[in-house]
Amino acid sequence: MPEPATPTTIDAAGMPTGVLDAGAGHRAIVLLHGGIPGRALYAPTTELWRPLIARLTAPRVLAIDLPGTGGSAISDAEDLTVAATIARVEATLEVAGVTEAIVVGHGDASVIAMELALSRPMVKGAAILAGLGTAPTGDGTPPIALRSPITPLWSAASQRWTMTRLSYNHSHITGELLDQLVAAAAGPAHHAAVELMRQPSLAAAATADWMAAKVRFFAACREPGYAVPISIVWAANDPLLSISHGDVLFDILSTTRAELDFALIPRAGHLLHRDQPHAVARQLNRLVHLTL
Amino acid sequence: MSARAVGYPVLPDGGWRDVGGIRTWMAETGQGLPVVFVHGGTFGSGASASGAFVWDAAVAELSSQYRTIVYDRPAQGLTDAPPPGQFTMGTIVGHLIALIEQLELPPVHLVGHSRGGFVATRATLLRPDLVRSLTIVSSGTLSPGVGTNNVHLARPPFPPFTRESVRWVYERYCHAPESITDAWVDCSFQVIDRPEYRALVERMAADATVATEFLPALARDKAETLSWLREGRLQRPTQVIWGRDDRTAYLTRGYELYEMVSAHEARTVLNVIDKSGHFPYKEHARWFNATLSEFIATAGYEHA
Repeated sequence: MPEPATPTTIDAAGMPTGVLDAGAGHRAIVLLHGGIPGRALYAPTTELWRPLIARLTAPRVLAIDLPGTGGSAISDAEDLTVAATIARVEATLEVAGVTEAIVVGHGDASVIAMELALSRPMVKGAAILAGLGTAPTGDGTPPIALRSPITPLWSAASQRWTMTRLSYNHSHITGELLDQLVAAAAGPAHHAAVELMRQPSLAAAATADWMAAKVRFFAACREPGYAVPISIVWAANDPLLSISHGDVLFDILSTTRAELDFALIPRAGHLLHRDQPHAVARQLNRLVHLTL
Repeated sequence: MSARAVGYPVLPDGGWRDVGGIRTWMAETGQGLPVVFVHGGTFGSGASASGAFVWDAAVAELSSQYRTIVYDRPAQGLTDAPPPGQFTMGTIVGHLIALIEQLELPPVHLVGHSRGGFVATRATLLRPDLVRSLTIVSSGTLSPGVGTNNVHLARPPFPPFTRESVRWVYERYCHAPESITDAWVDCSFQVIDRPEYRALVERMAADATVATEFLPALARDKAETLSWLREGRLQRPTQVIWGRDDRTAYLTRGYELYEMVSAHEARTVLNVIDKSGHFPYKEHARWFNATLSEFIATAGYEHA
């Protein structure tokens, strides 16, 4: 993988969109970060993918800032919806010249990846990393790991706390990472998303929107099921998701008509691609080898 | 190596060599880091037989990158039986160690399936200096918990030493019957149709060798092996691969094994493939080969 991946801004259907672009060509592995914009207790940024990107073997890697994070601007709450997020990802890929993709969704964004994988022929394979957005929640008790965050939110101290809570291995939480997270939080995209999500009615609508996307995913698994290879990569020490969540997700996806596999990574928390980047890369590189 | 180069039609030519006094069939192909494959199955069965031939797809694909080594375990395939009184897993493990030493290999990547997973793991525990990484595939023999292969393989409806019985056994093992090729069945039949093999099966049945000699010794070795795993003695990058639909070694057993190993060895991963029974490397050969190749390529060289 050519290094370093360069942070750039793409004009995607008229909206500035932040990407980390490494390598070249029309075939790419596309990385979608977790954390719901304006809601997550850290400021999501494509910089979080760097340790993983360095270990990927795809001809090209494209990490995209979801609308309302990093370099991806929004104009109103409509831009934060799941539908608008999917449209932004598609527009970004088109501008970037990507015509064949493996789509990787971390956490909440796994549902974005899976919606793309369901119906877009350009998507040749998909991976779910710690699939908070796709794992069944049922009537389970909410995780307590992120209760009582340090305030003010998105300060360096607060984001250090969040990263620590979500990680198994704290050594990746460096001063450089915190500088990047604070910079992402200071950007206009994050700021705009946070302001919108402070409005209770918009926050409630966002919650309902992401839940509806998950329900669409469950229905799609039942029928018609997925036609592309799917890798589920799970962390053994995720404070937000039990291993059983992964088991059930694996079971739900067994309607998949192409290869479906499940990998369990030890000593990894919710940010498994930072805790164990080499182990996650191994799973994705296999998917690249078999698919792209 | 013996001058006569023969073996199985699905594998490159191999030959025999003396390993610890046992005339042993093996084949090696390719260059690079050595990968040694240990097949499963048990000796003394007339219903089906395993051997090096099960690794045909792995050898065909991976020998372009690695030095692949497949062999028949004692009293299986085309390898001679050990002397009477030595029909134990201890003999089979010692034989694998002797083979690796005799070939003067640098530390190898070991891959063991089913009973062969036990052999490979035990060899790694006894001689870590010989092993670079370990891949354990669907090994009910090694994992704690309840085995079900004797339940699902009970009383085959076809006579022993027939292609029909071989196919029936593989159908119980596999998720999809179409993954059982004629070539696979033919190789197994090639083994059980050998006069020496038939004679051995009959002699072992008459002596109740499996019940009185093999299984009691295996039980003792297994108890010790599991306690070693719990103590964290397995200090090599370890990959556990399992078929989600394995009736003979339930996935829950793969989880138990993963938990025992990963508690002490950070470089562990559990890889499960959907729509696969006991032979993921046959039912999902491309997936298996890519999984193994990625693991071998990175095992042990870095971890956070």
